[in-house]
Amino acid sequence: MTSVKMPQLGETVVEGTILKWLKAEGDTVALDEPLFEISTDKVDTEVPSVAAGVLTKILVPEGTTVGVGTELAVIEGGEAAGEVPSERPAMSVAEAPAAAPPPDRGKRSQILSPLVRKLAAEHDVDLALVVGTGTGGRITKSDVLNHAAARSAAPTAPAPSPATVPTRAGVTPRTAVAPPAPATEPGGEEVVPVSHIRKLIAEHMHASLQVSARAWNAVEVNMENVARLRERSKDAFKEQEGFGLTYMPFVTRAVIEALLEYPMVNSELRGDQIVVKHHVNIGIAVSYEDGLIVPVLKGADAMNLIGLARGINDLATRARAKKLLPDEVHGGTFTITNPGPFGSLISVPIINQPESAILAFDSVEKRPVVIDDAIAIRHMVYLSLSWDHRVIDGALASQFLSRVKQNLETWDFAEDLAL
Amino acid sequence: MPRIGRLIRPAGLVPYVQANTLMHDLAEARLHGDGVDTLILLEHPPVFTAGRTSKDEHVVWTDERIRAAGAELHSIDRGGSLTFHGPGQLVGYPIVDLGSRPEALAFVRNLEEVVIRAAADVGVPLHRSQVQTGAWSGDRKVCAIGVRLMRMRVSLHGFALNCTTDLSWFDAIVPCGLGHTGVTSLSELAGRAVTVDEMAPLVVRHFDDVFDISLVGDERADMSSRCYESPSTRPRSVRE
Repeated sequence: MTSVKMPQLGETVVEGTILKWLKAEGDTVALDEPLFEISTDKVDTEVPSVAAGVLTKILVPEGTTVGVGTELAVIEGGEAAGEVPSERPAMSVAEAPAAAPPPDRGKRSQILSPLVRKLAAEHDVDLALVVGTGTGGRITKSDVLNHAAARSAAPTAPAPSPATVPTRAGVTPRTAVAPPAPATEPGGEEVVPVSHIRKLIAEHMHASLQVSARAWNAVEVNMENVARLRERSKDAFKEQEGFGLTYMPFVTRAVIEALLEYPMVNSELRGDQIVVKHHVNIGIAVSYEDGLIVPVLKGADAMNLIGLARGINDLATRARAKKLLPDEVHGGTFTITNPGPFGSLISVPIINQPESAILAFDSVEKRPVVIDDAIAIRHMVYLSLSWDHRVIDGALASQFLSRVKQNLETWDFAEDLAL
Repeated sequence: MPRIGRLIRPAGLVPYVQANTLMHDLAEARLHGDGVDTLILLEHPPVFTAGRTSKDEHVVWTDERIRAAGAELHSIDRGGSLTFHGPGQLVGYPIVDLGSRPEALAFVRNLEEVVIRAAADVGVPLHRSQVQTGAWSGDRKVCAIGVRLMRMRVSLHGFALNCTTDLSWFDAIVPCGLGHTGVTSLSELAGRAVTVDEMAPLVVRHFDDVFDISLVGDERADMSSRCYESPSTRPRSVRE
C-alpha cells in the first residue's frame, strides 16, 4: 500500500489545492502516470503517480487546499517508486518522513535551489558537508545558514583544544555539524531566515533609494487644538464608532487638503513625464508581526474626518489580521507613516515608489514653546516629509508642510467630527 | 559553467494554437530527457487565454464581439486567470526542467526578475506585488506571469510583457481577475515606443544571468518548417 501525499513545490510553498483528480477510485495507475493536478499561487502542475497499482481511495476532494505532506489518496497492489529502480531520482512524496537515515551523499539529489547555492557561496559553505533536512534529505537554506553559524561559532566555543577543532570550511567533520533545529548559537547570535515579506520590503525600500533623489525637511506643529478636541471627544467617539480616536485622521485630513493645494507633491514620475494626480489615495504604513504593509485608502479626498477614521481603522485592523484584498495595497498617491506610537521624535522615511513624497507623523508630546514672547506648554509634534528631488523642490516641500501645519493649527475640526 | 539552452525566436505573429502545441511537444521531449531547456520568444495575433482560475464574468465582451474584433478565445491549462496576448507584446515560453524537486515559486520569482531587469535597462522601474505574480508599475501590471509544470518538473507557459501592446484590448476582460488595477505597457511608461525587438535581446541576456542558462539559437527561427496544424496533432491542452 502506498500513501499519496501533497508534494512540495519548493521550500516556501506550504500548501496546495487539488485542482483535479485524473484517475477515479478503482482505476489502475502506472508509475509516473499523471494522477492529479495541483495549484499553488500561480503555478499549476500535474503530479505523476509515485506507485503502480490500483487507486483504492481518494481522501481529499477536488478544490480542497491542504498542507504539504497531507495524505491525499491510497494506491494498493503495486510497488512504490522508492522501491523501483528508475533513471530519475525518485519523487519525494512516498518517502518516509523524518525517521529516514542520514542521507547518503552518493544518492542524494543534486538539485540545489539557486538560493541555497548563493547562500553557500556567500558563506563559503561546502555543500557536500551539509546535512540536508528538507524533503528527501534535500539541503534547505536553513541547513546552509545553520551550518555556517555552527562553523563560525566553533572557534569561540569553549572546551576542546584548537588542535582537535578544525574550523576551516571543508575540513569540518560531518559529526561536528550542529543539528539544524536550534537557531541560537553559543556565540550569542541567532540565524533567522529572511521571510518572503522581509525580502519584498528590502527590495522595495532599496529600489526606492536607488531610483529617487531623496531630500527631507520638517516642521513643528502646535497640536494643542487637536489634542483638546480629541480629549473632549474621545469617549463619545469610542461609544459611537467602537474604536479609539487617534491623531491620524486629523493629520490625514490636513494632508489631503494640502495635497490638493500642491498637487505636484501628489504626483508620479513616469519616464520623462510627471503624472500629477488630482485625486488622493492615501497609503497608510501599518506594521504587523511579519513586517510592514501599506494599505491604501482610496478616494480619501472625498472623506470627512469620521470617514477617514473609519477607513484607516478598517485597513489597519485588516492589515494586521492579514485580510487585505489584493487591490487594497496598490494605487496609493501619497503615503503617511506614523512611528509616533513607538516613541519616535523625528523620522526620515523612504519614499514608497512610485509616489513622490511620504510624510512621517511622530510623537505628540507636551513641550515648552514660545507664544507671544511667553513660554507656554503645548502639545507639539514634528511632521517631516521625505520627497523626491527629481519632481519636487525644497520651496514646494516647505510650502506643502507649512500648509499642513497651518491646517492642523487653525482648522476647527469639531464640526467635521460632528459627534 | 552555465547550461546550454536553446532560443527559439519565430518571426512574425505566431498563432496561439501553434505555439501552444510547440511548447507542449518540447516539454514532453524535455521530460523524457530529450532536448535542452528552451526559451521561446514570440508575438501572437490577438488572443485571449483563460487559465484554470478564470471566471466567465471576467470576460466583459461577448464571444461574438471578441471574434468580430479579430481575436480568438482559448481556455488553457496554465495557472492563473484570464489574459490577453497580441501584437506588441513579448511573450516568453520557458521550457525548463526544474528537476525532481521543483522550486516552483522560485521559478516564478526568477521570471519576474528577468523582466524587471530587462525593463530597468530601458529606464522603466518595475516591481513585484506582494499579492500577485507579474511585474508592475505602481498598481498597473506590465507583465503577466502564469506557469504550469508538466508532471511536476518541466515548465510550460510563461510571461507576457507589454511593450507596444494596444492596451484597449484589455477592455474586453478583467485581466487576471483584478478589479480596480489596470494594465500598462513599457512604451506608455517610458513615454516612447519600446518595441518587442528592443526588449527581446535584453530578456535573453537577463534570462541567461538569472537562470544560469546560456541560450543559443537562431535569432529568427522560421516556424513554418514545423507542421503543427494537421488534425492528428490537435493540441491536447486547448479545451473548447
